Amino acid sequence: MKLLKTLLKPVQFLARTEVFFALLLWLMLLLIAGTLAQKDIGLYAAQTKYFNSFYIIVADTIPLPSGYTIMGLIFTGLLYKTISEKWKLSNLGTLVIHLSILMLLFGGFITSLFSSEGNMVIEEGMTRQYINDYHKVELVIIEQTKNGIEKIVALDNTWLKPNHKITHKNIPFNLNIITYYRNALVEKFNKPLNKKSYHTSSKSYRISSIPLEIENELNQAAMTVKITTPKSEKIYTLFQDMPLKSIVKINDKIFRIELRNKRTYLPFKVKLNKFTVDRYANTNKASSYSSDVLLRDGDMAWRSQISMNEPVRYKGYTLFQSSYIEGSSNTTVLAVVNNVGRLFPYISSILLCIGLLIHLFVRIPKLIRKSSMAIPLLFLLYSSPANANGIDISTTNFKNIPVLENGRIKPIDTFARHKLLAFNGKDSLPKMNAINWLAETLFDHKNAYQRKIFNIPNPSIINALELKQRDNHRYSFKEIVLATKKHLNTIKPIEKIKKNRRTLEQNQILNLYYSTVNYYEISRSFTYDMESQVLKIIPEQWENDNDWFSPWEVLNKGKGSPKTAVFFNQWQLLSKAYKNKNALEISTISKDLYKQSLKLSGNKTQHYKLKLEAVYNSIKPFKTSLAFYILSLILLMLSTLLLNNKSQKTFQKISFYILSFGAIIHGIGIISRMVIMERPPVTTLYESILFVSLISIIFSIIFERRKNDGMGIFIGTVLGSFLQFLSLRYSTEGDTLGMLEAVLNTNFWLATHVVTITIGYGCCLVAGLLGHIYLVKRFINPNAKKDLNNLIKNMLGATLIALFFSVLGTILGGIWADQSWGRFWGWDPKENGAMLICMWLVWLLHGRITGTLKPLYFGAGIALTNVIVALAWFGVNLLGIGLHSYGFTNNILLNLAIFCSTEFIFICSLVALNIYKIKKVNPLS
Amino acid sequence: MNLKIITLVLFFITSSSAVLYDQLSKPNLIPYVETHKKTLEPLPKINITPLFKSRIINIHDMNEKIVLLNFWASWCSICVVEMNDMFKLINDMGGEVALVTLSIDDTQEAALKAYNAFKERYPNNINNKHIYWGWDKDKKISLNTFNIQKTPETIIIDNDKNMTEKIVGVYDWSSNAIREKIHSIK
Repeated sequence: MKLLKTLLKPVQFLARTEVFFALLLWLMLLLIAGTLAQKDIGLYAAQTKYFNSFYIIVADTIPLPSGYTIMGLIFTGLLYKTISEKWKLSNLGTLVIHLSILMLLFGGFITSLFSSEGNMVIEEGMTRQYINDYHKVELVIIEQTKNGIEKIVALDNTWLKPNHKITHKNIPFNLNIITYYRNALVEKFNKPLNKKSYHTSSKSYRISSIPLEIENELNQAAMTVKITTPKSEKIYTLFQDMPLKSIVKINDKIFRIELRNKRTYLPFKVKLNKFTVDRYANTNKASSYSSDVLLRDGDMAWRSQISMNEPVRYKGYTLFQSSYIEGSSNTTVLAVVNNVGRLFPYISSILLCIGLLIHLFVRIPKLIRKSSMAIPLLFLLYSSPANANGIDISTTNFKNIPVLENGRIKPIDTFARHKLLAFNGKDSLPKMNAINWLAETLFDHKNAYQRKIFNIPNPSIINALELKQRDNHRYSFKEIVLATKKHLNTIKPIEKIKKNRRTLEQNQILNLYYSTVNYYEISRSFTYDMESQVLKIIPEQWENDNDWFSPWEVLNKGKGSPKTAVFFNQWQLLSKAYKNKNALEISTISKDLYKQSLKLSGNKTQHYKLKLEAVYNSIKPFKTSLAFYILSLILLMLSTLLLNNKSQKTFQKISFYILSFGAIIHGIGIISRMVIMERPPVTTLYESILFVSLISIIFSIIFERRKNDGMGIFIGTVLGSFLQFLSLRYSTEGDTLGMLEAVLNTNFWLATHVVTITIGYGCCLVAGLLGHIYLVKRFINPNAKKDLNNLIKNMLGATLIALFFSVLGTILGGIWADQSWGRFWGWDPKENGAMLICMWLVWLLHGRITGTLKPLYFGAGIALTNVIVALAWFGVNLLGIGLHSYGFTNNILLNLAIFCSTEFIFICSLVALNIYKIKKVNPLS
Repeated sequence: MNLKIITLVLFFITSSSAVLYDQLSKPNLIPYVETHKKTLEPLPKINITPLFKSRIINIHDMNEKIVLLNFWASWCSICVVEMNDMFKLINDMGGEVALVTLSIDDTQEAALKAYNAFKERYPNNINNKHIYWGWDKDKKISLNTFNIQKTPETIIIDNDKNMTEKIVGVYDWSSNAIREKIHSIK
């Protein structure tokens, strides 16, 4: 008993919250280091070094605890705490959360011990029974017996070291490894060497060591080995995928020696029947790919379809579609994972959410004070901007005609806006909107070619083309064509230079040239005198697929039909009416034309979606809401200048209504996008910004309704304006309603995981801003204890909500990853980023609850959440590695650095000022 | 204390057995769904001017189960080359399939000249009452009704006078594939 007590002492120490606090901090640092290291050494190596190990060696000498150790210590401490603690109803939430964390750690431990993964590469019609592990190499000695059976001896990594002698009871000869390189350059001699002690392989090839590649599948292992049989002694050269077979003969027995990726044999066979890639209409972008396979286990067989996000599970193995190799015959690459602890995360995450919810319900009512106020409704009268030169086609149904562009069917209005944006830099002209511009381009070439629409911002190009300098930098098609004709001898050779070798001017001049060609093609859509393929307005009429064609393509690719004939006839009539400037006729024909276009595309293009998009285009909901947010912020600022308390309240109220109204428009914008694209609100980085800003504003509105002191309005307007402004930068890149990468093309997980995690981001930002307010208020008036304490409580509440959504979002992401790739957690940068946010919030909460973190530092920590969120949201994309690297953006590095450093300096100086002030007031403290 | 430990152990055992159960479960089979067929378009009403006879050709009045409406021109070498195989196909099908050849030549004479050349070259195959010869005056049918500019193009029309398919460019009319296709339409 005494022994047990002494044994329990260190465990008791581990169970102390301060210790957990320190361990968690260390784990966070480890997580950051491990994520950053992935850039240099790759995901697998970083994972092994930082997380799947007991210690790491820093600076070649100091061993420090790493993943396994820290998580083990946390597990032990938490287990003891859970058992020794009193189980009460009031801390049921905490207890359940702790239990689920125990479960998660336990499951993770099981997974890291007993799971394996690899790749299965199968050509169409072939059968495979093994998987390759790219990370490991093995040396195999295969004995080929006469009846065709192969006896295999496999020697894994641990055997493969230079100067290592290998004797094995099943191998009748000795191997002496001379050199072994994990990544080698293999060169073939022009003339084989003439050395007696060399085997043919060593006579023909020379190997030399080269640095390791980050991606393990790119490394080619090689070795030289001396093989001693009772009769002879020869030096062999071996490398992966060697075209030559290395054979050792002893008496009648034949042994084949091979160096290859480690193979693991499965208890069943997989045959690939057919592999298919689906692409978005008229593009090369894969929308999904799938393998039609046959699983054979003894006498039983199952036919199954493996596709993106839809793996097949059998006997504990998960087979999912990883990638494919394009070539003469289709080859699929399936990733195979055997994860024993697969279900642990599911159980623990359900528990975790239950626990957090219980905790939230017990806690939150105490944290936020309530006061009531009604949200009245406001109506906005929206008038469309002044338009048109002569004839206005934008009021007719013409703008709703469906067009296919970049794989998506959209109203011709959107098409016109994108094209004009590309040529002009803005999606409208001073006295003409995009759709009128397009109509002119199509029907009235004489005027269209003289309209100044091309934007040439660089003066040196204007000079090079000998154009007149103009203040607005806009030039007509005619002017540019005349200019480029003169300089065609200098433009044409640029095409041959590689893109990254061209100068900025060369690129710009070439782009201008392409733009004019593109413009000319659009203008000639209905003249059939050139291969105009841009305006794709006719869906496939004969075959069973989703292609769309331009008028020229219809006639020249044999796609014409009675329906297209009627449709083109209408276009011709419209063109005539346009030239005659007959407004009434234009209106009637447009109406008919739109009806025809819908008939052509069958029921596929929904009427309401096209109309909705046209409305969305004209309202510009996000720009409009930004204007409202800024207005609201200005009014709020003004209200603080007013001395009269009553008029201050009135101003605040008006400001609140404007903010709410902006949020309604903002919400309508997001809902329209969802309806148009038939997908959840967040699918791209751009959409994530829009959504996060809406969420933070909604939270601020709720907050304001409860507190009613203007703080919620302040938080909402600041976050809303900032994020909306940020999103504007993305919307200038063209169509923000783009199609998705195959892996993202699944609505269920996007709807759950991405939405939850972005709500989490939004809540974190609200909490972060509260932190800022706390620091400033405390500095201004450190004696307003009641006010400050209330703020701390509010911060705790916001942090709890943020933690709930972040944790839920991260876990849902893990479940998605498990469903799609067969593993719950892969230490991918974005996953780590999400976890960092969770851990940071947990760390702060524990610090505050136990009193380890003083209110001032807690406030500073909460304020710093903004930086952590920014890093996890945008920063990890900069690494350009991992599963989420599709969100990669080049130009945000500087902005992110500026944001983070300003925040950091701001918060640090506020903390310093606070401390200074306290000391000044009370030198003893 | 003991109760707590027992609860914890029980908790871990239940979740572990759930994990184990999952390991032994059967594969999730995903049924393979075939893409649905396009709805068929009815053949518009067209009156074809005969090349040499006096009666207007009307496909809607024809009794053959399947009609091949072939757009050709005397100047189009590939159209001329594939013609004999089409004649043979009609002969093989024994009255079930009709061929309507519609010349898009500018003049009737040019088309007639080509017809006479066929007659000389393939006397055995061309004489079939299921082969109809038409001329598209002013390209009213080809361009204005069907948006067809390039030849050869052939539209397959089923028993209900719906257009089932369009064959664009050269096609091997002697192959088994076209015979299978015709059988599948029936």
